[in-house]
Amino acid sequence: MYIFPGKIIDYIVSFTALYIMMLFIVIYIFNMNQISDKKTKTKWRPKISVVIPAYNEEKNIAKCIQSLLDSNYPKNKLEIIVVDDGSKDNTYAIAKKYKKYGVRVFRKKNEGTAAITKNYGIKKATGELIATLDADSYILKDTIIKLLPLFDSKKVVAVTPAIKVSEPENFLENLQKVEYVLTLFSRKLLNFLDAVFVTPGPFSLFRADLFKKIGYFDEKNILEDQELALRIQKHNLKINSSMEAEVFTNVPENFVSLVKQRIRWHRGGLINTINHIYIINPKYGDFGLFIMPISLIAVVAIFAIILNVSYNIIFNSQFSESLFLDNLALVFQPVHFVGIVLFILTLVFTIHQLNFFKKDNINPVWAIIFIICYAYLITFYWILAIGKQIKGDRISW
Amino acid sequence: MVKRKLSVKIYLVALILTIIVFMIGVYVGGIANITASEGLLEKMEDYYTKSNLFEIMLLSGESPSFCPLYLEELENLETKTIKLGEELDYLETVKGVYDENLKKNYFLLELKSYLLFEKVNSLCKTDKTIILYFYSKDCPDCILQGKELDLISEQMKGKIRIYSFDGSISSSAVESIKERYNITNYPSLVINGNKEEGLKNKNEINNIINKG
Repeated sequence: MYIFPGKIIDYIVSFTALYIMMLFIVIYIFNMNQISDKKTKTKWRPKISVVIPAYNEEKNIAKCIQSLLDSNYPKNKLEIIVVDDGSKDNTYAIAKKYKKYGVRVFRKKNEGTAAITKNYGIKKATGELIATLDADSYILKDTIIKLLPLFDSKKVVAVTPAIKVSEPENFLENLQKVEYVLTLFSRKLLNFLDAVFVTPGPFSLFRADLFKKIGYFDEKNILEDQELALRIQKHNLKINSSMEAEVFTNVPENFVSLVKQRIRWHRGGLINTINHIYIINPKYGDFGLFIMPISLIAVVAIFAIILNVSYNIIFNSQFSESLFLDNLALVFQPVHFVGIVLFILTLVFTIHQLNFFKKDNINPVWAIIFIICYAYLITFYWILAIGKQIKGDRISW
Repeated sequence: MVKRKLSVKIYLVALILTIIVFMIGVYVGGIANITASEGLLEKMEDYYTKSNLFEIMLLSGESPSFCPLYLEELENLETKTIKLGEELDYLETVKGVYDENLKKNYFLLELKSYLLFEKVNSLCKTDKTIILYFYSKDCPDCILQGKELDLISEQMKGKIRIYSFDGSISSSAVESIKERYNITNYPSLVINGNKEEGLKNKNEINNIINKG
């Protein structure tokens, strides 16, 4: 049997995609009983400092600060630090009004990255735990209390909450709402492998001594929340993820700003992965063997598919498959079967995951739209991200 | 520090499940190929019967006054045969299924179609160009020749009919037509009855057609 090169790529790509899907399903099946947060309560009430970096956030900052003031965490154990990063709007003036509630407000000149602003606040913080909270996000009353039990051992240096989309209205926001909850689910699955690879910017809670031990946020990094997580992994420390302690964040509401955000994520993620490439090593367990390579595999796969499609267009153009659609047996190939299985598995697994987020009232139709759009969107993001990287454009926020 | 572990069990279970799905896919793909081959064979037999009926019609009438009918019937058969050829080609090149029996049957059908064409052509005087193309599986120039012929057939759409025969297949149908034109080398073309050996590009073929 003669197999032409395009076919081999088809097989490798479909096998890899199916294998990764299967891995997540198997991780889920093996840990089915531990998906929901443990119902353990802790009496531990350490002093917590929440650092809010803010740049031009006059619309959101009040809601953000107010959510912390409304928290049921003991007031005397909660320190709120707002760092205005040289905003051109009224952010600083609004934040200053909260000084009377004990909020500490600082102002510095803008120096480019959010990492610098976060580090500035962290260095002022006096808590035993330090959280960073984006100014366009807010927490619920019980978010902090729900997160504390996740520090269930000394090794745990960071916990991540359930970050969800705040008040989705349009198509893109609803799509991102689905994406965010599904991300929570896969992050929880990765948690079982000690392989969480990001401490999300909107809200993450760290042990204060972590920064002294492994360093602060990388001030030159555009994806500093992911870089820090990689460094935590490098030091064999642990990140735990909650699916129930909710934090809400604003997401890009139009396509242009969404694409801009994702280019930053993908490009930053790729650069960070390459900078920490040494982690791809069985010495780092599942994290080194599976999670780190996965993003690189995704890039390679996307470009393999593009290569393959162009190859088929150039060398097999004499066949228009539509000519044979009356003869399905002739057109059918094993990869089609794999594709169908992959689609059904994705659909069933996704709908099943949404059962864990009943209170978010996600319409299954959105989930289906998400599954169908997502592959195209992520390919699009990757192409733009790599294109910009090759062109050497400056990375912007 | 977290003690790093490798969840070998998870990787293995996922790998086994993936392989199972793949094997099922390959199995179903195999069944599809067999079904497709059988379907093609059935179609060939059907067309062959139809061409036999046409032949009887042609031989019993053999009068130019029936030409419109002959031409219509021939056109009909030809269209079907050409589509069949493309399907067979697809099965072979894209899906990697090489079925010699299927090809022998196809060449027989093609030969039959060619002979009927010749007959109708002499009776009804159409201005169609006929090219016989002899190739072989392992001839390096044949791929190029095939591409040149594709270009010609695209350019002269409706005014040309190309019959291709794999000379390396031992089938009595192919042998007999090879003998008729004394074909020994590949690629070889027979353009309107004249043999041309070796690779001919689009322009060369055009010149030969216009001369003849």
